[in-house]
Amino acid sequence: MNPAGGLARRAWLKKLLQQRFPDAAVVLLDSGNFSDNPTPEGDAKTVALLEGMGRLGYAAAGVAERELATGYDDLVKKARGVPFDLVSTNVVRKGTTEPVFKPYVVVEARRGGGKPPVRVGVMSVVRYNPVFLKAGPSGSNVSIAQPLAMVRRYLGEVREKSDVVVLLSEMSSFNAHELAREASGIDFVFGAYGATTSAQEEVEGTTRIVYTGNQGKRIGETRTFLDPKNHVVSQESYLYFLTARYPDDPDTLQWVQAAMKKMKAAGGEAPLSTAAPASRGGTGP
Amino acid sequence: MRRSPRSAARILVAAAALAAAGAWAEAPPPTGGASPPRSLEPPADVLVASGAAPDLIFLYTGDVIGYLEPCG
Repeated sequence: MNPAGGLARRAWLKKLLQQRFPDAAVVLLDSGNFSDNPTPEGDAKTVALLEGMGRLGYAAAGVAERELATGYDDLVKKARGVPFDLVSTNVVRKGTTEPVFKPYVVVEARRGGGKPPVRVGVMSVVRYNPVFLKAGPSGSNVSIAQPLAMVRRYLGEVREKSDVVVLLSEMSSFNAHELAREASGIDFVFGAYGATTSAQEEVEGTTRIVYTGNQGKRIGETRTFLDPKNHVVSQESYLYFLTARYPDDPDTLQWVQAAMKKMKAAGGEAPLSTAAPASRGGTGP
Repeated sequence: MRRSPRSAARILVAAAALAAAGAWAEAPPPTGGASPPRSLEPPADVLVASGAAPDLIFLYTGDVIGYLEPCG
């Protein structure tokens, strides 16, 4: 047995890259489905994971189906105080095409060496699921709109405000290729869909696609080279399988151990109520 | 022992080729969509790939489903 992944190994990798490439901007992203099961123990882990991702410096995370298992309000409570944005381009109020979360964010990624920051536009989609229905904000329900239609709606706007455009994907790699083919102008798709991992860089037009697998066992890295106008000139990607041969960042490991100990002492009790209804009847937005 | 002019020239050519190879290893990868897909595996003997300094690095995860610690 060789357990893989964990926040402490991710933190080690991030620090190593920052030491090795001190002038490069580093942007951490998660495509979503970061939530554990909706049980007291699972909710406590989700809350701790969100806090840990904030400590690592994640800039944005997608919202996928697992995040909404107990509805919108419960997710908002879990994410309260988290220093990064939750993004979804295609989770909408039922019966509308109005996104419930930010449909995109533009992350200003700072570089060293006196170079200007890079503006990274981040969108996020979850697979189309016509029967998905969960409790939304202010007594509404939320549903999932067609990813392509919603990406098309915002892509021009995001492209205009950004130097580099990323789509976080929680749908199959096949669907991601299809979307990139139909909606040109996306530089990168970073996705997860169960255990699917990319063996090599996948290309669709000018879009590069990488799938990282699940449970945090792996982490994707894409190094991007820009011209003086901050346009992408070239890139190279890696997928690191974070087995025990990867060291832990000591500070993060200590924090994770303390968080797990605290959870065990509390008997896995979630600090939040999960009493919100899973949906509100399915009638109207 | 004296080297012949031809041997000296061979050494110079070999040195130039090695220098060029070193420079290539540190140069950014070829441009955009024209480059063929490459493996995502880092070289077997290192934990993290080396290479030229990029302008922007993305690190990304997904489907983590609550794992703070290693899984498996």
